[in-house]
Amino acid sequence: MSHLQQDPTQPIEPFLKKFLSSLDIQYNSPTTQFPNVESYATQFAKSLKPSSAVIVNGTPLIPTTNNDSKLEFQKKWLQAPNSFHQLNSYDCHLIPGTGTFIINLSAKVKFDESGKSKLGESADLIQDNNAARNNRPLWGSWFGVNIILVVDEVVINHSEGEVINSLDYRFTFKPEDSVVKI
Amino acid sequence: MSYRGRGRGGFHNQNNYRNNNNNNNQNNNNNYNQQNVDQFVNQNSIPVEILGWNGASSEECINFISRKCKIVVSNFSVDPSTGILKGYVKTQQQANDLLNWSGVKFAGQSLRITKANSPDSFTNKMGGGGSQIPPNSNNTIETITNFLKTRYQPEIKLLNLASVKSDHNLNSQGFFGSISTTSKFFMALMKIAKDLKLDVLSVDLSGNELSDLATISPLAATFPLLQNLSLQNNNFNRLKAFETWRHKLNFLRELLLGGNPLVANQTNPIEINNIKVELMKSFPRLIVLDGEVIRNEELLNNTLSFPFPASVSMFFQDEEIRNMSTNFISNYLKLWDANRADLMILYQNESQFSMQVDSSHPYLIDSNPSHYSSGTDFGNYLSNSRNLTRVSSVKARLGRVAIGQEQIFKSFSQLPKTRHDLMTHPELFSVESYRFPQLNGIMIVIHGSFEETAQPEAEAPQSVPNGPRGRFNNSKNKKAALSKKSFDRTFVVIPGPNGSMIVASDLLSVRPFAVTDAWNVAHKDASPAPANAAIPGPVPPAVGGVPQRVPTPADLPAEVKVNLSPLQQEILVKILLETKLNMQYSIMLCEQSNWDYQQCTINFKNSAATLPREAFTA
Repeated sequence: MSHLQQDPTQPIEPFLKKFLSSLDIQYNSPTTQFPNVESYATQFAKSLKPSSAVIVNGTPLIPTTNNDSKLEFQKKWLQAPNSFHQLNSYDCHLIPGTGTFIINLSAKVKFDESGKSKLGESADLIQDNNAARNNRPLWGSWFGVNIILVVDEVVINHSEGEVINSLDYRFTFKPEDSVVKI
Repeated sequence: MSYRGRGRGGFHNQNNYRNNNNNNNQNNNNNYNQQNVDQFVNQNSIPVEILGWNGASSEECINFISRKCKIVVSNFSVDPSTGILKGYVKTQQQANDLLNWSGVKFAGQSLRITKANSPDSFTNKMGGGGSQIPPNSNNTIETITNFLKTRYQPEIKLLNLASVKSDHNLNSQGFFGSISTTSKFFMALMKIAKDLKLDVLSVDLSGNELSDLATISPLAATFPLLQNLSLQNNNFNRLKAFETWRHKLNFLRELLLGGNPLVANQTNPIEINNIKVELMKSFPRLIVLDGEVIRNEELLNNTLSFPFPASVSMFFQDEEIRNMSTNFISNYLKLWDANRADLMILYQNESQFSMQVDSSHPYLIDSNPSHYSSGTDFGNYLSNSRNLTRVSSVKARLGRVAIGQEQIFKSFSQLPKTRHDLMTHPELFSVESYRFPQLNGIMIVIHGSFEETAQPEAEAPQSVPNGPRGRFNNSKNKKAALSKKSFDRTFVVIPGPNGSMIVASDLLSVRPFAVTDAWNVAHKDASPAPANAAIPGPVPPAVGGVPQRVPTPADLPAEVKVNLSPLQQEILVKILLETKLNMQYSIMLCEQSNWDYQQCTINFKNSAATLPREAFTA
């Protein structure tokens, strides 16, 4: 085995980081602007297949007649406070004969506790005149999260497409002082 | 794909015999344990009383006695009305020895110890656990405890600490002679309130001449869930004073500051606005400030809620998967703890296993002081860890996946021996199980924790030789400390021949021990839970045109559910369905089978013929 040879699973790490950061995209950021809410929300976990099985904290997302499970997930995620995920660890197996990887990833996530929604809506009835500090997220403590993904093997060649067959998102640790209710 | 056709027999069948044995052993152990408990109770029957311990916590005092006097005081508790620390020692001799230690210095005070059943016990002196303040008592804790009792209103969970300095009794004890004694008074008060486990949502600290939070700073740590606070008519004059509590009272809803120079003398509207904004930053859930609504509460609650249904610990896609996975998990973990060689029947030539360590996963430091062993020593895992964010060499990335029985068993042997308390503490575990259509199999995901009980049977390979090697790296003789750990484990299980099961993929992730609030949120939440009784589960297929609902634990009567863990509820539902026994007999069967599903079926088969007719549902 030559030293230059790459492990075929090498591209999975950037794929996972991209997946996690897609959950953390902010609507009002200096770098990205979205023409409308829809074009923003459809960025979340966009590598999900429309028919993906999605389970969050032990409850499956049920597709409706209008929305497939991917869209259901994106609509829900839009209502979550701004988040920040960090990949701690992952491991994966290519399952022979199926063309899929099973990925078990361990991460942490913190949420904006400033009381502002993703779209910048605030519950505050008193306005802060200092606009600059107004938009800064107030990060709470880290939650622990474990994510299981079943991903098409093609992810190692082009990670941009819809390759996720199932997403199982589970909080494994809840900080005591968190203002966010799960 | 060639998992099929190589099976060596069924998982269920081969293990029945073993389960049987295990359970017999367990039954014996139980009887034996009961005898031990009785003996223990009889032996530890001399009650003792301790005063002057309140310089530190009651646990610390008991630990101190254990270290210093070599006497174990068990079953200890603090009598809330007197502040007496009560506990038990084993023999009269020990009680007498302990009495000789009366007067020993502990946390700045002298411990005073008596036997509870002697005429000069503290309880008797105080008039039978009396609620009256003993005359001429110099004991700080008694005075403060009694003071707290008069100031706490349990029906509205209010602790009224208004104008404490005007309390005649406290004043006569010289509590407020100087700033330092005043501060000590509040410290002691909070400590005692914490030891008494007072359920407090509101605190009134008005009229206490406070100019900053220094004297009362432990309040936030004592009552982190505090919702209402009055600091009216004090001397607060600087906004900075509140920074001490920034994000420490995260559930504070209403704050009263009227009658403080900070707001009373303020006429500049910009400054007033600034004060409000800063206080809102310090207290993220503050809704009402001095009677003014400063946040839209409903909107705030919405924004600060994770928008998915409240966490539930168990998910099974359908009834078949429920049966398969509960069987699989309980048997697998039992054998994992008992003898991993017996699991090899589940693995085949193409089966894969690997283990990763996430040592930086968040966890609560000192989450459970009584489980002091919850360490973060991953020494037994790191050299085999396939955390692919850390392992870069191709050789290691490929080499750390065990493929086939032989390699997998070797990997298993290099992991510490464990105990999973699945049956006794099922709340420590959480499961999702769903179909894996690509292989006509199922995914079983388990989250939970285990206790390491012994070092690995086999030694793991030495770490990658790229770190510094020298006298600090002499890891050969150093064994990692055994402790509790948490884990996430994913199995892809596919059907084998004759109803057996084969594990195609097994991914184990090990992380620091964490308490399980993440999936037991419903029990702890103070606010009433939304009406989520009807958890949206997958709709079961209609049979013969008539929609049939498969019963779930949600259908069990509440009074039955109260006593059962989620996993026990699952088993009970299965037993009810399969045996057609009534509730009473089903529970009896489960209890007598130690909540082991397979044992239930065996016991049922053996005794079904002898059961009375009324044991069955009509």
